[in-house]
Amino acid sequence: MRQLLTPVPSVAAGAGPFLVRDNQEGAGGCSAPPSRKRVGLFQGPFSVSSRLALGIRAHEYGHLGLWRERLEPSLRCLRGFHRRGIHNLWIQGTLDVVVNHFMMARGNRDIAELVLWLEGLDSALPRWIAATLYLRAEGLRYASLMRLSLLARSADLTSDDLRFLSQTTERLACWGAQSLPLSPRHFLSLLRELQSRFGPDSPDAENPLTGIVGDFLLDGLDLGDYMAREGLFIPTGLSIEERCGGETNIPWGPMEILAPPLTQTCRKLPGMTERKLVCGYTGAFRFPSRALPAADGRAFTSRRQRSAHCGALLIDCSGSMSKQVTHQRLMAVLERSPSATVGLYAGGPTNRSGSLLIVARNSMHAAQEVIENWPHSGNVVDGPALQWLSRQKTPRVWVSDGEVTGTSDRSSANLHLEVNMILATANIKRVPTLDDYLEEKNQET
Amino acid sequence: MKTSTNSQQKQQWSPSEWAGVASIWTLAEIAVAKLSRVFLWGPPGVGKSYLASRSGSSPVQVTLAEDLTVQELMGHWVPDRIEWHFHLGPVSRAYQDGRALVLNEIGRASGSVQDFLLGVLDNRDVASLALPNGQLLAPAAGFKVFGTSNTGPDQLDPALRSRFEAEIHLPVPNAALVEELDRRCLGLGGALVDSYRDPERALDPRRVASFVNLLSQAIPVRQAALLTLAERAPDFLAALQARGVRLPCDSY
Repeated sequence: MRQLLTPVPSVAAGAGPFLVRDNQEGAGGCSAPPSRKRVGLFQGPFSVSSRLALGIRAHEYGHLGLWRERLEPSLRCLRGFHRRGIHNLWIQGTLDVVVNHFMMARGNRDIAELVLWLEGLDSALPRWIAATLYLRAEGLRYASLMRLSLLARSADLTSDDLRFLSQTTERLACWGAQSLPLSPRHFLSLLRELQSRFGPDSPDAENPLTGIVGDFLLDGLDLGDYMAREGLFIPTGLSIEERCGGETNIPWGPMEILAPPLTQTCRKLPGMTERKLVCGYTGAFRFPSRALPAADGRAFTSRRQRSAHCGALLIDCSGSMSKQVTHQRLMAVLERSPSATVGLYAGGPTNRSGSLLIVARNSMHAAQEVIENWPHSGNVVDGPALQWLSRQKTPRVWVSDGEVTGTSDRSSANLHLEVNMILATANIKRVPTLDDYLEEKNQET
Repeated sequence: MKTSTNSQQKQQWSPSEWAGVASIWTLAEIAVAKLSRVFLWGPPGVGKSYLASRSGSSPVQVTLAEDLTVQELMGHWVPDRIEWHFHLGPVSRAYQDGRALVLNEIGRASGSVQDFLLGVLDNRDVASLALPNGQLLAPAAGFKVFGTSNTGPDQLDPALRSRFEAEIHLPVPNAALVEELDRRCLGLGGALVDSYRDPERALDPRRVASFVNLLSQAIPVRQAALLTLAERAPDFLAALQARGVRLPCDSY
């Protein structure tokens, strides 16, 4: 698993919580502040620390900073611009210039490392695309090179156009550098001016750059993603209910946490009888040499319980995994980890929801009948169950084959991504089977 | 059977608002001043132990761990030439002298230590501590116990938990620390508090305080950030810049 950095979007935004998503460096980043009902989104390259990755992340912090200080027009306003015929790429490009200068004026040097394309451009570049790129290069370290490269193509930009673009970038840079609020009226008139001069004619014109360099958004607020977010259901607070991403839209099922009375003690299990000798100041006098003045004085020994796993264990009881979770095996686990919190989870019989059954905690465990009468079927609630595990004591272990599904026991890439994020952020170790877990415990002792 | 669902978790309430106080720390200060057995829990570095240690005169602090034995807390025999003397442990000493006892990381104590603490935490009317030397101690006036932990009270043994008079969740840094950070570096305290709005990615208050300490010793900003926040340093600085935090040194 890749090592992910831990960003701090809530510091820049002054609000939270955030859903943090990692992506490739070439895919850029995007961010959206949280609202009363939804968590924020902070997406960028967190598994690499190249100069470009630092620049992308700094740019996204800049967007959140602008939002916090209410310097950029609201999302509703930006959406209104699009409805009034402004192409998203113009909105995004101009905002990016403001954000970059906002951050540079505050002393950020990383943002200058942003580049606008990675794998080259077509020789024939539409005029409006060339103009947006020319605009966005403002203030970046390789601005001259990028602009020369643009002009070398048949982009059809005249010297008047370039003068106009320079004046526009100056205005935008001044807005950002001086942290002046972007007046929606002035911003709209500037965007209209740009679009009427360079195109495109339609606000929905296809962006040819998407085809050239894959995901074009190397830096900046992906307005498409930003707007689409309204339709998404992103986890609220620390609990995950539903997620969607890409083309699939499979949410986690709602999870019920069952806490039956824990009536049996784990301290009398057969494996618990083994004890280790601990040197101290009371007990049997075993080490006379330690009683000498120069020694530590711990000449006495007492027998103590062997240290055992005292964290939390989450066991996937869905489908094929359910066969291996027997009462006997659970008792074997508790012999080795008597004070661990153990939770079993699975989807219900209809696979529309699921439950998590807490079978052991504080050296007490549930009766055999409780475990045997607990109905379970598919996965359905892997995400919420892992969120529960992330709130338990460390070390945290997840016994699962790694397959995760949402409602109706269907799987999708976004669910896997979510689970990987939880595993990384909550420091959870996955073990494929209970037997593997027991074997590991045997080796430790 | 107790049940809870995700939808129930969504209905968050603010305990401090409900109780009519400015912050949960105000409540914690009341509890520490007025009660004698208080359990404080919250993320590392928010100032739980600091608050507990400010109560009473010369408090005794012990950080519990699984390998710490009862004898180390209660007391043990120590050889002195041809005689053995009983040496009081920190718990017995605080018990006898009527001092505040701060038990850090109480949830990490071994089972036997937790069992021993049951007697220590007993109500004053019935509490007594029998030492191996035959002495029977009664809690002196002023004896208080404050337990701190990073995990919630549900991780404690139920009998131990019930002996605390109050349990207080402190999810955000101490207001005094925030004010101090703001005094030394305008806006940094607010940034630290805001980081707790996203608890999984909150900044460690100790590291932020160290960062400011380094800055005040004229260490350049980037070096100070890298030393204290390691790989989070670029993100930390970028977020501060986006927020407009002014650091003692002019240049980032």
